[in-house]
Amino acid sequence: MTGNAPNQGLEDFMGRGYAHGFVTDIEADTVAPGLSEDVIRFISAKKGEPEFLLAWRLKAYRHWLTLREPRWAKLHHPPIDYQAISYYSAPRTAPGLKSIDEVDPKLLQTYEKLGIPLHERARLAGVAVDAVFDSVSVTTTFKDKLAAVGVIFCSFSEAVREHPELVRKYLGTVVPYRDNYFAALNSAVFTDGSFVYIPKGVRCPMELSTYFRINQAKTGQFERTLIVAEDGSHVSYLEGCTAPQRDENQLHAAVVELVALNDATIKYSTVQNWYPGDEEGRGGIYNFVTKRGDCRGANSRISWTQVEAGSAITWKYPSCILRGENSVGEFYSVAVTNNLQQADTGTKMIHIGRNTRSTIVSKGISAGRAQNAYRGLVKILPTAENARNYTQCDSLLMGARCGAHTFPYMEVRNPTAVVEHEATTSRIGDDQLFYCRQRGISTEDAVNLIVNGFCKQVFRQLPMEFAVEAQNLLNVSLEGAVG
Amino acid sequence: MSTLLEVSGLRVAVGGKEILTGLDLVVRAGEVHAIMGPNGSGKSTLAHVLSGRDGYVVTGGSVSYQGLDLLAMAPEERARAGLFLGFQYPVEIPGVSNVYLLRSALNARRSARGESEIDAAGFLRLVKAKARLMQMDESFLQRGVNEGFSGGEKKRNEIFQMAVLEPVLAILDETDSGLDIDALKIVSNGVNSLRDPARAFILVTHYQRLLDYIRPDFVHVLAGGRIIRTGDHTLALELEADGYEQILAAAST
Amino acid sequence: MAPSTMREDTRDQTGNRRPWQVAAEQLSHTASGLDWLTERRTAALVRADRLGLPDQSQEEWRYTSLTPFARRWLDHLAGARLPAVPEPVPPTLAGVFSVDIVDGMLCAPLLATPPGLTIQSLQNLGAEWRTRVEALLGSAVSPTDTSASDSLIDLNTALLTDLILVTTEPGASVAIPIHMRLQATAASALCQTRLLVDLAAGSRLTLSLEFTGTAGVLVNAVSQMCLGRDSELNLVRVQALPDDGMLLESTSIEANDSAAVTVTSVDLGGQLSRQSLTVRLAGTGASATVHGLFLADGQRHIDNRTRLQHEAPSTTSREFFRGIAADHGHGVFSGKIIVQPGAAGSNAALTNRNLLLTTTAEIDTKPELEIYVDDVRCSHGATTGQLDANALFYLQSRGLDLSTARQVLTAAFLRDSLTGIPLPELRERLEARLESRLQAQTGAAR
Repeated sequence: MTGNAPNQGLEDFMGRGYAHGFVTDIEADTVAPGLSEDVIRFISAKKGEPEFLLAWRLKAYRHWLTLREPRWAKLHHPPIDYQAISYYSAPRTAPGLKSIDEVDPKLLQTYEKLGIPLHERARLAGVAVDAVFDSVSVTTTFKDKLAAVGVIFCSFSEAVREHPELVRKYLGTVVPYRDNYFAALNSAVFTDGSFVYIPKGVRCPMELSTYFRINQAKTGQFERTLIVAEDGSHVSYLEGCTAPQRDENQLHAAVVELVALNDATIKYSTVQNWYPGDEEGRGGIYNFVTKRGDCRGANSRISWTQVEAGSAITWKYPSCILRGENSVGEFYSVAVTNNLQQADTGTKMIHIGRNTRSTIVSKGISAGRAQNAYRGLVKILPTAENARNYTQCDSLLMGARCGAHTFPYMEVRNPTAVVEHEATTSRIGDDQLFYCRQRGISTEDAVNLIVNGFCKQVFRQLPMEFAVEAQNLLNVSLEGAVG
Repeated sequence: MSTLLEVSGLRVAVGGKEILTGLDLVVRAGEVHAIMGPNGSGKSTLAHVLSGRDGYVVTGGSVSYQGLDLLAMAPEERARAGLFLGFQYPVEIPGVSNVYLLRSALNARRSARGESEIDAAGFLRLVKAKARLMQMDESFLQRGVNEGFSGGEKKRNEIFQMAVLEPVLAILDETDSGLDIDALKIVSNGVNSLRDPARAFILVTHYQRLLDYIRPDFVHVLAGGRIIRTGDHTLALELEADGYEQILAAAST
Repeated sequence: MAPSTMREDTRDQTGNRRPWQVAAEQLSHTASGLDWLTERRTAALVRADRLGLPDQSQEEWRYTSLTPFARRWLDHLAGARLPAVPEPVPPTLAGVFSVDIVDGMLCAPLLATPPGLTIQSLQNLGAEWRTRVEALLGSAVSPTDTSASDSLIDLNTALLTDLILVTTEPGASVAIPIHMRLQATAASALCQTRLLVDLAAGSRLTLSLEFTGTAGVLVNAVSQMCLGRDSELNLVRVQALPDDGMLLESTSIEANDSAAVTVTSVDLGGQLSRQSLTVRLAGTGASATVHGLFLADGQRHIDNRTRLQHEAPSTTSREFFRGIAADHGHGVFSGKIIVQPGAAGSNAALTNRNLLLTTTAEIDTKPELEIYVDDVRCSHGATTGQLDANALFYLQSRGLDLSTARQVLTAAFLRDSLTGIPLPELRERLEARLESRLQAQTGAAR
């Protein structure tokens, strides 16, 4: 029996390819490539930042100079020339707009095309959007409605201007600038991002979402997101990203910090669809991201859900520090790699408090010549009485030239803790494919169906609109993968 | 009655070994055929090769289905043309709900016939009605295909799927194995309720007991890769009483 | 402690010359007349010199630091001298063929070996064996396993005082288990044991290795085994060093077409024990089963690193590793399954279960999968925790007190790993030792 025979129907299948690869032709202020203290001062001045922030940026930069790029991940890429990147690019008309009507229509069209209408009339029902275009936030919708309940949702730059005390109190407390190479770089040069503050006892009345778009060539995107959930509050936040199709690699090094105080819940969902490069591995985004949540309060909960479909390289480990008693950390991930994409992604669950619980569900799908690695750390400190972790990690291989790898680390120092890890690696069963075909379903539809079923546990965690988007994204990403 | 399926001199090898050695079978619309035989006689091979499973090499003969060359068709084309296989060992597909699979299957068939997709409300009415017929709890509809089902539940699910897809020719491969008496009755009722002058069934089975509930028009005894005897339902009773040995011995003389 | 500190230490010892250079000079005459070996030793010394001792910046040594031992080890190296050929020790197990290796040297004279089996040492190595020995000596590291190419194997090569070659005849089924007692004595506390095993096609052998020693011994052991087509090896390895002993062990096993290897590994002694076991399933249909057990009580640090490498089609591996950490013990298990391109139809499964008995103990586990082909079925599962509460309750409901119930379950946990040991007397002895040690633990635990 030839294993691949049932899949041959897909061979002629034409890929729809990357749908968001267009470039918006818009005038932009772009700083010349290169990184120095002057560039950092320029960024800080451009944003009219207070002195403390510039000082922090410079400390981060000086520290970054002493570091070397991490090499432990199962990733291969040519050296990144940090002097060839432009660290600031903004559409000329963007900043300081009073209303959506002042936004350049070209930008509005861009987001329209991406399926993220920003205009009042067509806004996504029940979702507030902060749109970040290259280095700056273009607009944030539904701000007034949110302000009515005390929720602050704005661009990071605006938060620095309007709420410097909050920024100062929380910035860098979850991911210090010394944390790692890319976090240090981000701390030095971050340009914008989103800021969310949910006051005590408030359940955020709508989904909050940021849509990141890289447009300008030869620029990096370094956004920074900070979400603070006060006692007893609740927020669900979504993040989406795309970039034009280009032959060069572009760097995206973001930092996300989440702080959950007593009884607070933060749900953070990502659908990552940066340009992945072409079939030969030309171009694509290098995605080096540090995301971490601090369950600082008792009974707090932080839940990460990610669908990672894009980027030439993905290096990210959304993590939870479970400090508060009874706090809960969750990580649900689907990572899809096709062609020459590489992903090294996973999570860290650091159990410090008593009765802390964590759940990790990771689904990796590898096709073409891609390499897909799960890397996760579960650490139980001696103080974490009765801590519990359950990890499930499944990999699906499609084709004989791809790789799927699982690197879990379990470090346990409390005898009352229970840590469980399970992992499997296999391909789509011939018997499953045949079963579907016998019911009249074509091979490619059967593959989509089975792969979506494989990811169901994760998709179920996403808000409805995102779940559908994620499912479609998965199908598009894997087109031409079987055969 | 029109001929649905005509198998002539079919020879099939698996892994270089010939399993079917020249099998002839004619099935007309409205008929129920039972194919019986000892283990290893080629019963399941016949079911698989008719449905187009990989790994079976046809070395001779032909199969015509509704005037089409069945062996030239892909498994999904056969399914869309109304051929249904009830699996002996239904596979689990985690995360894919029963209704989702069925809806995809139904729509694939409809679009192959140039029909529009079934509307959500109509589909739901249909599956709920069929679930009641099979005495299946509605929660089964939302569960993953056969995921964590017991052996009996899987078999019932096969008949439920058949009821929804309304095939022209249904081949049920050892559907009775692993069923207790209650489940056997439910499965049989499901099959009987689908009997129709335009539809035919091939029941592949080792035991006679299924035929107590579904009375076949023809019983064929398969041995050594071909049909060695054909009779009416009394042949099954004869087999039950005397075992295969005697008939095999009689056939070889 | 920063890893770089240790490297500094090694340089400080004798100015610019590292202590192993001194040791190698002192031991150079052991290979006099064996030019091929001398060349190999010189090359190994150069490599070891370049690499230095492994440190925690290397992923493979993430959880184990040699720093606390480095000074002691280097002192021993600097004072290395050739041990005298030891006297044979009387056999202690019935129904086995005992072979004594003291400080890496084969005891003479060796009684008549069982039919089909030959055991040779450097001193009496037949000239016709030279090519084979050279091939085996170079087989420690598979081409793709750069992570295992640490300096320990090279140091062993550079400083070995003897090597033991075990060979079987084609088709021979060696009737009696071979029990090798590898003893280290304080008199020559730096002990470089080197064992080569070569199973001819279709042969079968049961071999058990028991590491023992006197107080303060340091052992660096390297074993290289090659299984010919259709051969079978049942290997038992027991580490029972004194509480202040250290064992660094590198074992590589190559299994050719349809060969089958079973390994049972038990660690119950030592202050530091680090085993690196690589099994290469190099031939179609080859299979490996690995059972492991460690008890990291007291101040023990026990690190087991296994690597099951599927290189050929239709290869199978099964691994079951269990560990207990108590007191201030530290247990480490890293188990990697690799399925290389071309190893289609491979099937691999690993199960790792650990019990942590005290707050001062630690268990770090790292089960890993590296899969480069889609036609596979691989899985691993690992748990660290306590005894099953339901099982404890069940036993209590049958009238056992909590402490007895704990003992019963813990003993069962251990015994599962030992059932595969084909030397009944050894198995019983190990069970008794482990259980008495655990009684102290479970009695004391909350």
